[in-house]
Amino acid sequence: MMDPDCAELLPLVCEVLANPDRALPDDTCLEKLLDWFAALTNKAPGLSLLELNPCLVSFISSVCTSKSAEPSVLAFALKLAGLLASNERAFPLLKEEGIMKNAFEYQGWMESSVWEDATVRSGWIHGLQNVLKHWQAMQFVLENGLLKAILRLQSDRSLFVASATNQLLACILTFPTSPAGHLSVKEARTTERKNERNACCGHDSPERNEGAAQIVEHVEESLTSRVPFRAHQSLKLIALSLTGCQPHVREVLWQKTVEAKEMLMGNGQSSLVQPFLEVLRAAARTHLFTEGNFGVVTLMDDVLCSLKPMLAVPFATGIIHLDNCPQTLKNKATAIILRPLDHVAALVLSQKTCSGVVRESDFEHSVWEEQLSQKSSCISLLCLSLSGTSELLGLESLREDICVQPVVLSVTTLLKICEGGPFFTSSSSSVSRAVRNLIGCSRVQKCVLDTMAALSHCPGSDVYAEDILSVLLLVLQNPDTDQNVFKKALQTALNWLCSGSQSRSVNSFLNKDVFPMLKKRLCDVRWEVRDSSLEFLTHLTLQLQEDLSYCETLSSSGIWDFLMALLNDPESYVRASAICALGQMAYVTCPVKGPPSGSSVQEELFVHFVEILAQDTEGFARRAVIKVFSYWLRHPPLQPLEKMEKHLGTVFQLGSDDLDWEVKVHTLELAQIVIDEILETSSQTSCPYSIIPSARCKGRDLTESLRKLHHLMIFNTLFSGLLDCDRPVAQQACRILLDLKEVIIDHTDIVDKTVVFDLQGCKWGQDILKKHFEKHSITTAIQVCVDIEELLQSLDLEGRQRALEKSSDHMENSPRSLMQDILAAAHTVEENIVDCY
Amino acid sequence: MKLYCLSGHPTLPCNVLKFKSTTIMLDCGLDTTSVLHFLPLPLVHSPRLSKLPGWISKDGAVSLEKRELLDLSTIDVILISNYHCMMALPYITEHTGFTGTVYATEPTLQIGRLLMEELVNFMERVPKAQSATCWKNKEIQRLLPGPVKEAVEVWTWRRCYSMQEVNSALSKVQLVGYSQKVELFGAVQVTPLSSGYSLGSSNWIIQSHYEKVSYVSGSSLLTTHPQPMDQSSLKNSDVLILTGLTQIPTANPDGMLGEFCSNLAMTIRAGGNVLVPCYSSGVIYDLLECLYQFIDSANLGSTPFYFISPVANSSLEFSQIFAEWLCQNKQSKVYLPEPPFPHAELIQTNKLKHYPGIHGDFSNEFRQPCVVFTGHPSLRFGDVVHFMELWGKSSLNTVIFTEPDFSYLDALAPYQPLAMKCVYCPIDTRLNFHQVAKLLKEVQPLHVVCPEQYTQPPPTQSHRSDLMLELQPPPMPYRRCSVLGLPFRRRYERIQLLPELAKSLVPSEIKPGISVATVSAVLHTKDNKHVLQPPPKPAPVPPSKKRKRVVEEPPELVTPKPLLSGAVPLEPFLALLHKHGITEVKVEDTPDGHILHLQAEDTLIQLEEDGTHIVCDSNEPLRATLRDLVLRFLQKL
Repeated sequence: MMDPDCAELLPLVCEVLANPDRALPDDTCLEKLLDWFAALTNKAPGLSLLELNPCLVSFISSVCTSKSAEPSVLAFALKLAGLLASNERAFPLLKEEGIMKNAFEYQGWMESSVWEDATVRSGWIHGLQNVLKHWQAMQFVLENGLLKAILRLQSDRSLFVASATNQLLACILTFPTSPAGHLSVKEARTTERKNERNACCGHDSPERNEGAAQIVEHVEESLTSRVPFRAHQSLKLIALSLTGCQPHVREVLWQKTVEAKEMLMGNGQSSLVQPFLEVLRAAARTHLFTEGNFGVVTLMDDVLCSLKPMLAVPFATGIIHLDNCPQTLKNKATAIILRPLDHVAALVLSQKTCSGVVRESDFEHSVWEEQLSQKSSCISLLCLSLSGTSELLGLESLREDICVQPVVLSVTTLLKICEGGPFFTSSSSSVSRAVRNLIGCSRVQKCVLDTMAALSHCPGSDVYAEDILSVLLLVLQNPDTDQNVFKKALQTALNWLCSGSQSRSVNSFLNKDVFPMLKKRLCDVRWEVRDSSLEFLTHLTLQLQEDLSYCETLSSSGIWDFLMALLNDPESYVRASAICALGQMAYVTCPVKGPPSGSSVQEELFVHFVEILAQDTEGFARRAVIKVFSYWLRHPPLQPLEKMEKHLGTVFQLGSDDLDWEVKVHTLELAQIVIDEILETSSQTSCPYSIIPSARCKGRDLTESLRKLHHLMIFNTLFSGLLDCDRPVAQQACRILLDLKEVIIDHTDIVDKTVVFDLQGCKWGQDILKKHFEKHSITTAIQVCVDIEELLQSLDLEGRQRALEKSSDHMENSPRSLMQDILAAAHTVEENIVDCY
Repeated sequence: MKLYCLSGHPTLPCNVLKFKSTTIMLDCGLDTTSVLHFLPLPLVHSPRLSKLPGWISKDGAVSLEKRELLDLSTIDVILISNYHCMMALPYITEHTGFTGTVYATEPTLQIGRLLMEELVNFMERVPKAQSATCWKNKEIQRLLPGPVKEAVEVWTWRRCYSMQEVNSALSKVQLVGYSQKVELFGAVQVTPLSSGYSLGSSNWIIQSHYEKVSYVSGSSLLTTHPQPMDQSSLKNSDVLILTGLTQIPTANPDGMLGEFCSNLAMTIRAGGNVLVPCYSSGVIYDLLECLYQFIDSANLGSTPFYFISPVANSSLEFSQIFAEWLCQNKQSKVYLPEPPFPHAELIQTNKLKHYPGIHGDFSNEFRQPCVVFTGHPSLRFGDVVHFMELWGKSSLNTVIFTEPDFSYLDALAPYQPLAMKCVYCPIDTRLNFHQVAKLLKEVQPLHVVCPEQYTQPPPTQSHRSDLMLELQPPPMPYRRCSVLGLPFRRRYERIQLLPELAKSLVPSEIKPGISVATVSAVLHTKDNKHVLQPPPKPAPVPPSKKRKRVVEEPPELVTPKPLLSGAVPLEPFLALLHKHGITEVKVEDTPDGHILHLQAEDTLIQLEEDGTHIVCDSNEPLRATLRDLVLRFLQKL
């Protein structure tokens, strides 16, 4: 329901809008207003909106009758009328009042000069589309001859209008035959009901059929009109409506398309090829595809072979995703996708098509050859083919159909070519041309790497791991490799390294090739490269942390010192990544040259990280530190963390005083982990053997836990977080405090009141104190020491949470504020005019 | 116009161009790769080196360009494009009868002098037990062991020149500035243009009034320290001689610089030393600048950098004073005022220290781990020999090769077995094939002449068809000892008219915008300049009737017959004939014009595009009348 404030403002706003002399703040306010009405009509039952706000009707009526308002206001009124009339109960009322006729009668608009403005035409179309939610509206459209006007607008000179018209026409064609869209079988059987429904939704009504016939006729005319734009629009309409329309309409539409096929396809040059393919794709999702007599499959098959390669590959990629697709078609599509890859590999390796699925006779060999010999088309085509191959490999159903080996051969060859690597061939000119296009081409490299990554998931691909990794190493070692390609290559390598089962060979590869390369890359001039290398190390370690031999290799690689050096990198991203990598590595390994026994690696690092938290000037590094701590606490290491606890207080102190809100949020997450752990241990250790833990024992432990939390400065963190001006921080703190409150209140009788805060002594104390006193209506600050339970109860945490849930701009975004803006803008202009005189 | 190619080395060219009676030598690079056949020259006797099998300890020597092709004393001028391409200068200008002039820019001369001094110093400071030349005899060479036996053309190997010869050679250098036009004997004009490769490096334009030859040698389009390359002045060349492209087309300088830095940092972090064998000028400035930025980011602030060369100090200081030869952004620093190169700051902050040699101050302050830049890149002489011996045994140390002139494997051969890591990061900022293709598309020369190496892919990478020049028309390749006739014919020569002669001319317009006049004058030619002077006045009639000698008489001036131009239009001509009473005219069309048959007069008039004939037997008055009628339609000059 509309709130009273808004209801009060609405008539004034309507008045301003209806007055052509008043200015509007900007166009977007009308859109926002419409959004609000759309939400209201969805929520409010039936008539109420109209009945409660008569100003709306008079607004629409006056604007549409005078036709003198701004085009944007006219369009708004039309869309609004549509919205209001979309309600089945409101429709008759509007019809009675003459609003429908006023707003949507075509004749009236045609005669007006405002019709020249595309905004108005577009408003009219959108208004109609808004209405078409029920059969009465449909009837209105059909009976008043609006269809003719709509069909005329399908080839409107404004592309926006033309496209909206297509949507509307599709809406008419796919208008549901039952209110629910389709009948369930059970429902359909009760004939009585069916007839009833038919009456109310016009199923098979003559008007409806006539309407559909009219559209079909128009479509047929357009398709054969030789006016490309008209044909284009109609093809789009067919594509839009084919899946949703009634079967007999669908069949007719399909029929018409097939008849015009020759003209539409031309010799592959026509601009209509693309929309024609859209129709084919739409047809493939209907019963036309599965029922053989419509020839969809045959047509697709033919089209696939005659299309230009740049269109054929994406079309084939669409086909492989189709359900119920006949195997032959799927095979052909697969062959088309793999063809450019095959071609390049065959050129270079002087072998006939490697994948063996392509039948040469099916294709115009020369066209493909030509495309691959030109630089721009060669690169685009290969990229299309590669991304199609990745999709193919991603489809489990199709994986068996592809022979992985030739694909591996093709992609490795391609990557080698991009690297300028040698290959064995007689140097024919076509080869050298193709090869020259590809040397150093990072676009192709990226696509190849994606495909390689997809290959790693294929069953049985393990055997190629060595080949793939050796080519990847070439890319990684090449100093000219683009940093994005480098990153991708590392990600791909990670896929292969982690998917392999033979850890022995992986480890020797890591030891012999990867770690020396990484060491150099960690000293690279480009920070992106250093960063990617660190990320790779982090992920690799995470994946292989269970693998003992990996941990040994890592420990003896000497990479640890390089990471330590990177903690002082000038680039903050790199420092952050180094922190993450060390955090991960410290967790699984002890460096050979580690610190002397007594303090563990992790402890040393902990101290170092706390320093970074205190001193680093950039947020990324500090965030990383807190995240690493969270990770460590969540995944307890081999050595107990007790020694670190002495520093945790400092961490919370620093974290909650940080200037970066993300650091604060992460600190709160860390607090949550610590709280969970401490409370959990307290409940566990209470009395492991007794079935019902004794209340006293439990109370003592809880008090102990709370004291510990207090000691770790966690309450400090939570309360200052609660008052933080950054919403996510306050929300997180509030959530944690609410949980704590629940625990404490549950045991309110057994908690010793020993966790006490001196509110005047802490930064957040003053504000909390104020809230606390407000609650207890104490005016003088006598009591400055409050215990935790009292404090939690005095703070209206629930209220605070509700307030925080609303976004900070909820006031600015409210419809009330919107309407006030409209009114204010209208008045300001008026005042300005007065000032001028 | 002929080109004599004395060197087959594409980056150390030596060509001689004969153009309009001048003989111009373009560069004289010195190929020192033959030193790789010799043992390193250590400062102190090294028992290990002297006992290596298959190597002979000999004086340093260099391979000289082919001299038999041409008498060096006939060379008029030598144009130098950069300091690397002048190292053979003393061999050309001294003891050959050379009397010409050498043209070079100031930084080229000064830094070239430093490099020569360094070379001489490296050679002369090492005590040599003996000096022999008999082994160069083919018969004896055959008996020698190992690689020396297979070395080709050893008779062209020469002892290194002396400081005296260097001074004498450099005294013949005349300094020029970019875009300065230098006249050579009035016949041609030569102009140096910035080539962007090194301090003072230049391309040359050699042009006469109607012909233009561009000589492109060692150019770079990268933004490093020198002034950027002047490309536009190379436009409209008849012939472009293209040499000095990058020697390592597969290595991108940026990538290599990155590789250099990361290898350096990696070694230092692991506690090792880094040795960089390099020339004392050129890429080292960029290396130092790159390191200046990299030092802090890689936490190398405390690592000492040493630059050791007899000319280290001069090289670092010279680079700072040639502000006008630097790129814009370095030039502008001078006005701040700041030193253009950041190595000044490295020196100030004691991060970079330079020493003339390893003894003396250096040995007192030497601290490890450190980075040492020193020569010579061949590892055969210079202080680098010492450091190779010192650091070669530890796998913590790394030698990073940045100069592409020598095969690093050959350079390392006498030091094997070597535990030290070796990294090859050749940094060659000269044009690569991609850049050349773009450049040539831009400047559109009619013909391109280049070393034959550029017309096919590198032998080790025969599949890389992108690493060669592909042009239309195809470039003319040259190899060592080729003599090429350059493919254009000189068609015009500029001649000056003296003002008084010009004043006397009476031009008449024959077409809109085109006027013609006849000239009678005396052609005067001196110093390849041609001047038309007014003819001498006819001598006044001598008072005495004494006979003069015929030769003394000024040439008799005969007023030339007027020249006719224009066409005789048929219809008006017929009308004119009619007016003059010639009525019976039969017109016959021919492929070239018309034949008019005056039947009554029995006369033919042939009107053709380039002539009119009146065939009229024995009726002279009629012929004259007809002639006058025809002339009415024509213009006289």
